[in-house]
Amino acid sequence: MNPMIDKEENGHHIIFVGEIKEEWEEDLVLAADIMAKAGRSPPDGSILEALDRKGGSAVMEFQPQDKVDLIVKDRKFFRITPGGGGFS
Amino acid sequence: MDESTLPEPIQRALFVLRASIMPEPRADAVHDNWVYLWLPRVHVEEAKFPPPNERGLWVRIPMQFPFAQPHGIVTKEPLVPTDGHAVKGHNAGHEMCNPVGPIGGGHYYSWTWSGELGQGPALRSADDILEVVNWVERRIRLA
Repeated sequence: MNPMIDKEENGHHIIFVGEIKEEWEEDLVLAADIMAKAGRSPPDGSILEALDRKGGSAVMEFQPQDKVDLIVKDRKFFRITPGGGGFS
Repeated sequence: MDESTLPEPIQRALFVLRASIMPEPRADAVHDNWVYLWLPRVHVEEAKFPPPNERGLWVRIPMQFPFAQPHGIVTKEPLVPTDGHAVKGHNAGHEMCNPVGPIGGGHYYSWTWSGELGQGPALRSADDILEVVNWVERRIRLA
């Protein structure tokens, strides 16, 4: 199976952060930019999770400074979620 | 318990939960500085945990919420991943369970908002209780 996906017909990547639709021309996008476009202004401790389907399970997580490769499989649906944590 | 005795931001957090993602959250106990907030429907990742994949649990919210951070959850049944690995921070029968022990609380997970896994996001308003639910669900996914 080819893990790569093609761009949409107009040459843009169409992704969804929750219910918010975003279009990106670039293949490689900063996670912080994806979050910002969805209305979140990092860095605030939030991370971006790539999901296997809309509302699905997280398959990868990105810190705001990470680059997200939109060509790779499972980079269509995302959610923003609180990062961080520890144990006591 | 009488919710009207709780600080206004926590009453607001309960309202936000009821109006958005889960209809029946409750404040079941207050002990020291902590409110034991019952979340009736927390998603537990199917790929990592056996059913049921929606479970109720208590999250410990500080009375100063959102100006102080949540610390720990209490469950009725232990969180046992499908692969059987031990969950970090699990304390069965810990005294932190006592406030909700009579109604089934038996397993304390001493999870902090920030720490080894990085800095949790700033909580800015009572509405950020939704972020707390997301945080609990993510911590369970990472357990």
